[in-house]
Amino acid sequence: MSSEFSKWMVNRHEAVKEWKEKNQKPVVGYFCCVVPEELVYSAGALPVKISGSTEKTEVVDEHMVPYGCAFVQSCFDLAARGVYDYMDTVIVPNTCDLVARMEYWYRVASPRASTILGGLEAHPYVFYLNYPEKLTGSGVHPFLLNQFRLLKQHVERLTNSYITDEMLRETLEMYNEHYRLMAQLDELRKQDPPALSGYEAFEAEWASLLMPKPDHNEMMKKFLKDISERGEKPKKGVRLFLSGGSIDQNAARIYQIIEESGGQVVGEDISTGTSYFRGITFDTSKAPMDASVELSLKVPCPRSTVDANLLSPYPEYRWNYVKNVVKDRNIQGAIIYNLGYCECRGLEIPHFRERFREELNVPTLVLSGDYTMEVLEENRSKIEAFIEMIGD
Amino acid sequence: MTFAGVDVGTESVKLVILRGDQILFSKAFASEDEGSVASRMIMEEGLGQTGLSMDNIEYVVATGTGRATVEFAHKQRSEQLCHARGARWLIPSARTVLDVGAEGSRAMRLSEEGKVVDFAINSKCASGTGVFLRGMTKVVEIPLDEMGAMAAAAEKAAKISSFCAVFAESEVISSIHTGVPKESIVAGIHEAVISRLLEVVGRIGITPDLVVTGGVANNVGIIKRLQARVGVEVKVPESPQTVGALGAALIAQEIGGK
Repeated sequence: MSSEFSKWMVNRHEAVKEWKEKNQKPVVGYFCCVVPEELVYSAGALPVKISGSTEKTEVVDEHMVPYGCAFVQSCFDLAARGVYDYMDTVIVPNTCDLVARMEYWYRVASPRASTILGGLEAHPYVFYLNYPEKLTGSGVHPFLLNQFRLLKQHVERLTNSYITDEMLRETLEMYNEHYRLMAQLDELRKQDPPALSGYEAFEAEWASLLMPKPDHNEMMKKFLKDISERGEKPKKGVRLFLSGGSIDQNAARIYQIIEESGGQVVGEDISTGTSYFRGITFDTSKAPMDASVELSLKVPCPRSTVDANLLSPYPEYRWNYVKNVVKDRNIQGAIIYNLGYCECRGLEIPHFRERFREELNVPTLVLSGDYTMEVLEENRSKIEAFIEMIGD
Repeated sequence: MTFAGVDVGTESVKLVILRGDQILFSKAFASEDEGSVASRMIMEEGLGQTGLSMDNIEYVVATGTGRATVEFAHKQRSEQLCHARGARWLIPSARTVLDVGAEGSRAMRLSEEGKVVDFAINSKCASGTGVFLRGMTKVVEIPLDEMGAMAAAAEKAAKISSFCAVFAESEVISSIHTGVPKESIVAGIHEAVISRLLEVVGRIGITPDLVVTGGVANNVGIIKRLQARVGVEVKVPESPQTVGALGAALIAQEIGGK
């Protein structure tokens, strides 16, 4: 079933540019799901998740070490080649070492004229979001609240607007509707066979990171209705859980390879959309900025620490999150797809493998990628063998 | 009822024709032809020798890297599953199966019931495979079949430490130039292959009995030295190269015989 979301997968730059041309509003690029995109939307701009491409990099080798994450390298290369020139500002959080360096590299790669007042840029092109490493402790909330206030000012200056509490609350409610709709979609994947394929779900997910949420919500309502009315269900396959970072419009090919090999992804933990916000909504009874901070701190990103200490170095909160997603889904196997040099994800793989095996009796397949379609296709034989092994 | 398994590898094609517990035909031959041609050729030979026709073959399963090219196959199955199934049928005590082919090696862990429960595959690297050994024959100027026996008999092994087949070649040339005995160099080459194999099998762990399949299992130097390294008996089926095709034939029997 080809959905309307496909457009945002296949031709994302043109789709965003078309929106910008039509609405005459700024576009704000951002890395990683800890960024409060609701603040951007509230200011009247369109938040757009930055991702790379499968094109050969041209500029990045002059600036970055070769042993760095190929996803981040590609994102940088696109900016340096002007592909992301339609973005009016970029938000860079310190989610991993390489992404954090984007604060400097984007300035170098994509320089913009800026008014200097008292030696400072009046409105820098790149906003650096200092996100806390440890998410627990009394100082964390006030610290992040302050960071979010700085970001709020940044987008207010960009859009020449002021975000009132009422405006932000309205946005949070609209985002909550989005999360509820995505949760409904997620529930359909628990069915056996699932009511929609993993790839279809990902398309819907991915589009939500590029398009205005109200439009996405309307499309989602229609999509959910279409799914419930269609007679044909996706092929029943081996039910798999997918874990991995930087799954975007390119790496989403892994969903198709899995489906072509007789499997079906029915749940995931992939640094994208609902896989991070699953089960979380904004508490609109609270001050909206506080609600925004609270939600961000609940995102179970592998780069953050909640409970690790010298006595228990393993990220238990991450495992508990995964275990919670896996339950009620009759998962038969887990595929862990790790991009080379991703230390955030790479460090937890041995821990996850062990826990999947010992606690859930679920076999795992660890794949490594380099953000090229070639290597992704090379993994096909391993995926086929893994699915055969489970189905045998 | 008669069933067949075809294994199209990177250097050779293998066929097993099976009826019940009886292997009617089993053969491997090196072929430079494309998989669809090579598989048809070996099937014609198998049918000719057994006096059968294609109509007599109930079901065919293809395996190997070129399995998709076998036009007459009803189903395709991975090398992991086929080698494990074949090895278990020949050696029922097998719990770990290590298949070492021309361009790839893979290890499978089997449950007590014989099901594959975990597997590992070599990375994109020629060292640890048959082509690495074949490439080294040119450097040391010793035929492949003699190299294995020489490595098995050698007491000392030169250190060939490189992870990469290309760099390993320059290490071997350096050893030749510095006067290291050829027996030691050959043993060192075999030890380098074994180190890569242990990386693969180490990812799933070794549970005895360990069975080695694939063309490289015919190399006595590899088997003897591998046994010394792992400390458990390494079992090799009579015709290790055709174990994948046998497994495919057994799967064909399971599917087609229902």
